[in-house]
Amino acid sequence: MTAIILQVVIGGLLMGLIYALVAAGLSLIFGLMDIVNFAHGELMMLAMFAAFVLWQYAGLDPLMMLPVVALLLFGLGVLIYRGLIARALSVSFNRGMVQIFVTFGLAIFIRGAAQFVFGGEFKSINTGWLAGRTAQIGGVYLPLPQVAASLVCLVAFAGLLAISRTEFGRALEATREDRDAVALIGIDRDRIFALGWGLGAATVGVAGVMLAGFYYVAPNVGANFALIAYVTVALGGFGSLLGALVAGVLIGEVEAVTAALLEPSLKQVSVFGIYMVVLMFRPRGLFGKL
Amino acid sequence: MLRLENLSASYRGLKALQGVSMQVAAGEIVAVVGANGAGKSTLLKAISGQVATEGEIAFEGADLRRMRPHMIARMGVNLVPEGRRLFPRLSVEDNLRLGAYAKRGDPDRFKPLDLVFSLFPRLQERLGQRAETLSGGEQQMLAIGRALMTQPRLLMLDEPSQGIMPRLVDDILAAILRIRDLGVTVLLVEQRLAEALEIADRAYVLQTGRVVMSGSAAQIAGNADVRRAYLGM
Repeated sequence: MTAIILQVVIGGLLMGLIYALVAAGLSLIFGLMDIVNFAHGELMMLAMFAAFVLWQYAGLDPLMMLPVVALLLFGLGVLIYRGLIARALSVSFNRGMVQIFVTFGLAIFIRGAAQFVFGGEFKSINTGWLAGRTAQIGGVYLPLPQVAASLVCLVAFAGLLAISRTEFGRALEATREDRDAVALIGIDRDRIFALGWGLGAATVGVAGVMLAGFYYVAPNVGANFALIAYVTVALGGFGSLLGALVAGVLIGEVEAVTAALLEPSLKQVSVFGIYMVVLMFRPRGLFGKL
Repeated sequence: MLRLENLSASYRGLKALQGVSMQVAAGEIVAVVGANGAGKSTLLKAISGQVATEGEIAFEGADLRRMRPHMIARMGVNLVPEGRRLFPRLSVEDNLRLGAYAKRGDPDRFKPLDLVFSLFPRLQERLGQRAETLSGGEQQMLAIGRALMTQPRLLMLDEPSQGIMPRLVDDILAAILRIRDLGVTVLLVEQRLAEALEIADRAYVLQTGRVVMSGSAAQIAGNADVRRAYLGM
């Protein structure tokens, strides 16, 4: 009995940490400039495909390509800001609508492009150092790719925390608090925004690579994770790193427990149920600053 | 040092400046006074690149109208804005250090901290506190300190006495005089006429977006018509 409970709790924790990291990237960008990146799930999907292609054609293990894909996604994030978001910010008419549709359109474009290039069928990475392996401790099965993914997520959170303590991190926080005031002291806020997008995209890229080690890879894989990420960010509090971590794990646990006790297909019902309760009693989320 | 020629600007749909011309020479304290809504704040916003303008803004020969706000700040033209605009959740120390952020790579960039602490010893006692926990006067000191960290050559202050206890107003005015004595030129916008004219060398009186009078601070202060007609005193 204890082993079964532990199995459920650990399963929830392992998935929850991935949710948390996906949400951290979304929260970072939202917190910085009040723009919801509707293409966040598609960025994760692109990272998964990058991992898949590198594995298939270069024979790289997911763990080895982590830095490569993170850098690729960082560049992509900067590019998206410079090419699209900066323009959307500078329109003078109906700015709110433009900001929503620009990332929404980007999401549809990326998904379509992936469908065109890779086809719609599910792919998976099934060889590698950890692929398919499990460890067993006291009757609890630990799938090693998921354990590795969770550890990488924790390291990524530590990395984000370390960045927030640097001078650049302070500038990021200052820009988030008052984007006009930073310009008055000579800080190029466009540059900070671009780096913020790069960092947010790299964060979800890391999550995507590790997820690709044990999850199917397909053009529509991002949609579901993005939906959970929006809930996680709202639950944890917009712009809060700790909030994303706690809320991500919480959502992973709720899913796992619901699936075990009730019915796997109901797991998202509980997630959104909890979300609505939190919205009613703590509309700013658990760790919301605003 | 700074020359405005026929400068016009709209702010929130209103013509806030209409053909303003003025000059600021190096080492001066120039006050801009006038009633509420005369366009004083818009003038400073225009110089720092925050509102669209027509006309000419020349700083040491460079055309500021073509520059983005952060480049204007890097030229040494720095505004301590109305409402102070600190980073409320960051510490006093972080607020100050961010003033030197744009100078990364310069090993001496934190040197102005000594000056800031000598002007405002209170800030040194509150380094670890969040900016939002400071009193109004302390926040104004921090805003001026943050601007000094950028090593300005022209420091523009928008209503530095606003919302501050009278005792601290004197401290801040004294600090502005000391800052000028260190070689920083000052352009000061103030509602408090008497105090502003007391420390200024010259002054411009703005009314509904136009310069209606200019001269030495003593002249303006002594002119009863000015006080009655334009400043409501």
